[in-house]
Amino acid sequence: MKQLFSSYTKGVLQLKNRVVMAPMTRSRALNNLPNELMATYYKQRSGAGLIITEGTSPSPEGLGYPRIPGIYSDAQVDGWKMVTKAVHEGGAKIFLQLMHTGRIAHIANLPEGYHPVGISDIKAAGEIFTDKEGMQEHAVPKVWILTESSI
Amino acid sequence: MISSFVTAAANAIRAGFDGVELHGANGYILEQSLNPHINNRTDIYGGNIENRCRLLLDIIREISKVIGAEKVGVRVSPYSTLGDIPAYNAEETDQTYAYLASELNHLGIAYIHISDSPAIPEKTHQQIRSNFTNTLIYCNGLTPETAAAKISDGSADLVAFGRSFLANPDFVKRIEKNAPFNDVDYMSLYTPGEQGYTNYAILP
Ligand SMILES: Cc1cc2nc3c(=O)[nH]c(=O)nc-3n(C[C@H](O)[C@H](O)[C@H](O)COP(=O)(O)O)c2cc1C
Ligand SMILES: Cc1cc2nc3c(=O)[nH]c(=O)nc-3n(C[C@H](O)[C@H](O)[C@H](O)COP(=O)(O)O)c2cc1C
Repeated sequence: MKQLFSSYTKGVLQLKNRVVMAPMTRSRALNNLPNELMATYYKQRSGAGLIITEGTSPSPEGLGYPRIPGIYSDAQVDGWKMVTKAVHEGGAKIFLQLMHTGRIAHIANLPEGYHPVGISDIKAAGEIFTDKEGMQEHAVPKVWILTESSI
Repeated sequence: MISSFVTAAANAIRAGFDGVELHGANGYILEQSLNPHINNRTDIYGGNIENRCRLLLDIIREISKVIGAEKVGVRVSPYSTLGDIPAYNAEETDQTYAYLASELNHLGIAYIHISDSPAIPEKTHQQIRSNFTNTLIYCNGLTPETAAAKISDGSADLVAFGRSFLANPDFVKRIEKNAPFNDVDYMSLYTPGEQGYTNYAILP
């Protein structure tokens, strides 16, 4: 098992060991904001060489699941600063996973005024949990349209 | 869409992250783009393999201009059907990931992270390894023993663990000490609060 404990250095990956914490959605980000509880959770796991965070949405449309974090507002950036500081103190590196859920979504999980967006309008089979309405069928997404502003 | 990813990546660096990983796996929007049965677009982001890979590659190219390619990783899950992603022709699947690996190599990103499964043929693994010279991370169903073997035989540079870290905050220490592992509490995976989140037992 020695292989797991050898350090790894390539580019920005200057890691104390080869063990990575895989990205895991945990739905603790109330109002899509990273918080102190999340900083504690990640710090506890900073024995890893590298931590990859839970899927985090680049935009309100990508927040298909309940209580997942975003990284598009200043308040979210400030919340994540607590997490990165705590993890770096623990000696691990940390990458943010950018997850846009696309059609794996329900409108009840998105902030007011937003609708799920997909590559096409083909709906996913099955259901998704929402805080407001329990289990619901996946949304029929709006098709992502290529415009000057959306590029 | 593309510009929101770029802003998000810049925000991530501002928040102190060492880099970003694009979730190109498990049926979310980037894999929806890769899949010929979900992606029925008729513009430059749909159709042949190059076009279906274009969204992911364009996003990476634009992000790299702002934060640097060396701070970007990508997660992929060839042959996975999570998120109601229909399987497609094996030859085309292999070509898709071989093409992606070589384009990602040109772009000079930090790593490819493979969400492994027994459905992935050896050929696909080999094509990714030979087309991509930077770091490869493997994940899914690994134990400390199988993970160590993957590093020894050169198929992985780094090894990732999901549920083991979820239930064992001090997972690395437990491997080192040969201590028993906690079980995952599946009832509290996604529930708010500290139960099943920050209260898993830590070795004294
Ligand atoms: C609760 C939970 C949430 C997950 N969330 C994500 C996620 O947000 N992004 C992702 O890429 N994978 C996610 N995964 C998949 C894990 O990264 C990993 O691939 C999976 O757990 C298999 O690895 P393991 O056998 O080591 O647990 C999640 C897995 C679990 C159990
Ligand atoms: C290989 C694998 C990949 C997963 N990928 C994701 C993911 O990308 N995003 C996510 O939110 N959950 C992900 N999950 C979590 C599952 O959706 C599910 O919540 C978890 O496995 C527990 O449910 P189960 O007991 O039905 O497996 C993943 C799980 C596994 C095992």
